[in-house]
Amino acid sequence: MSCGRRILFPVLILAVALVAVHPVLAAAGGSGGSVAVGRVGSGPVFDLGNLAPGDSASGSVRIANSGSAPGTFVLSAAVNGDAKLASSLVLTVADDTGRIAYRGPLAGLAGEALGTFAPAEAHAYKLSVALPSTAGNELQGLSAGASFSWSAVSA
Amino acid sequence: MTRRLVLPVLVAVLVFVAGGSTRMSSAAFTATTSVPGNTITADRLSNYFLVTPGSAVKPGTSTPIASGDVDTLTLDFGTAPSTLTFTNVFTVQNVTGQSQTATLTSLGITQIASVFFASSGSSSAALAPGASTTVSATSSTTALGLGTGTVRLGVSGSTWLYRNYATALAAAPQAPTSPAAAARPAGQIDLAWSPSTTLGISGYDVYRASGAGYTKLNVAPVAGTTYSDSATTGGTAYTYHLRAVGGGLESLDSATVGATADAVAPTLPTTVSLANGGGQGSAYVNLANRASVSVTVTLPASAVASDTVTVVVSQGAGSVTATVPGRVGAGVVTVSGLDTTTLGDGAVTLSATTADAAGNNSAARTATVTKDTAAPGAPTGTYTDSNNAIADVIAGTAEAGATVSATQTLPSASGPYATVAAAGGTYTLNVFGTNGKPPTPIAVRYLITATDLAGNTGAALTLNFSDVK
Repeated sequence: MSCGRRILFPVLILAVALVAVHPVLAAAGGSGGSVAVGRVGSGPVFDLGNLAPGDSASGSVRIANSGSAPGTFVLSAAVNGDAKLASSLVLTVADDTGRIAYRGPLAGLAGEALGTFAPAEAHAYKLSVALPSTAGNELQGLSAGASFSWSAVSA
Repeated sequence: MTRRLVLPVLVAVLVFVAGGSTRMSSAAFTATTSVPGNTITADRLSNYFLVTPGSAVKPGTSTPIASGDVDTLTLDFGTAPSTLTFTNVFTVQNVTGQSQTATLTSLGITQIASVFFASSGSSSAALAPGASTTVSATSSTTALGLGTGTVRLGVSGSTWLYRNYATALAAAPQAPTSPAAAARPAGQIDLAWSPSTTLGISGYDVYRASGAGYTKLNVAPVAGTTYSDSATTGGTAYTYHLRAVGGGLESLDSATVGATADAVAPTLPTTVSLANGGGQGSAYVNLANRASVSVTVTLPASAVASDTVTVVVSQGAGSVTATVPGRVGAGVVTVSGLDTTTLGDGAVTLSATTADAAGNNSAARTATVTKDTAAPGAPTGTYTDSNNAIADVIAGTAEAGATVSATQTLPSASGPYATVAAAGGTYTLNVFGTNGKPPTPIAVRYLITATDLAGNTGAALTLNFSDVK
């Protein structure tokens, strides 16, 4: 075996090992493809002021798997502002199939599984937030915010 | 050759191992898109109204009742009398671009009878954009003591848009009114006042000062509307005020009144006597004057105008009393019109006292007089013709000591002729000597009366005589 062959063999083994085990590298160019999350549109889903008990508002966002590989999607929220209000607000997340992905306190949305999206598969999600009519006067003037995140993990 | 293979295999293993680690972390790797900036804000009263503290202050202080803003307002009325209206406690302004109706509710504090907008006089007020109104409150008439609760400002039509303002009011009774103080005998000073208009009070506290500083006189609240202060020093001027007590709180002070303790009685009158006495020495109460006896009282030099003079004419348990104003300095006052009809005949006591303005009475100056209203009986009498001597004679009997008076009416008027009946009642009276003309007699007539020592005159004896000598 020549010296060049001696070197080529280990390098080949190394390359094969890297391609076999690293998904990014795989997505980037491997045969397994990649998963990516895309949103149609921009801006917040809602920006509600002067909400009173019994009031509600909703907005929609369309999320797509813009990658080349299937991905398992999860919806979560980072809530800020007044916790009392965030705990009182009722968030409902429904997809375009009518399935209720989440219904509960805004502050309670921790990580709801949305299912597996095939590449290019997209779903619209309607997010509704309501202040129950039974809400107490102590919530008057409070503010809460949320940043919703759709995350995908390659399936 | 073996050595040549070891190195690449080792590298491959390391890479595999490294790749395995990367796979583990690649499982946690997520592609994520976020939608930030979603905000929700609950409505609030400040979106509708601006609230600013007003000029009303706690009673007796310069401390404003209200403090804070639309979200944090607190109302401390301090200690306030009942049924008191506070104006301009705070101001409410409509800060929206459209008409809003503000509402007020008092919750859990019975010491506040009502809270209302000045612009409407009620608990709701429609406010045009930018318009404002003040809020007034009235303390309760009946609820006493410290009360805490809330006053709620809200938006009409919403059961949710309101703020509860912590409120405290220590409700004291209304102060009593119209106090009056009067000096009484022995230095006592009597107080009287009109009651507090507050219902359910437990009484009144009486405060006194003789110089600086008031001291409460009573231990327990005085139940009525009078108080007698006997713990005084004669000649000392005292001032008083009163406070109603209820719910553990006192009212504000009543008006102040004053009086000077007077424990010194006036000097007794110098003399007392009948002014219109009848009979001998004008010293009798008789038939003529008994219904309207007048008494003269001589006062000493120390007499003052505010004194009064009281005369009592008494006999046993019966008495007649009259009081007249005194006079300044030494002199005489006369008490008239004493009707002694109900008193029997006999010794009657005249008693005169002087009372000062405080009611201190002097010792009594007394005198005893006789009441005699029994008129003597008609005298008896016989006429003796002295046969043209100097005088004819009438002799008879009458009440002992009575003055017998004979007046001739026929044949001509003469007299009267008077004498005093002896102790035995006999009398003899020389009268005009009428000369008869026989055989035609001359009719002689005398009217004879007896007047006793008291001045009572009895029925007359008509004595007719036919004088022939």
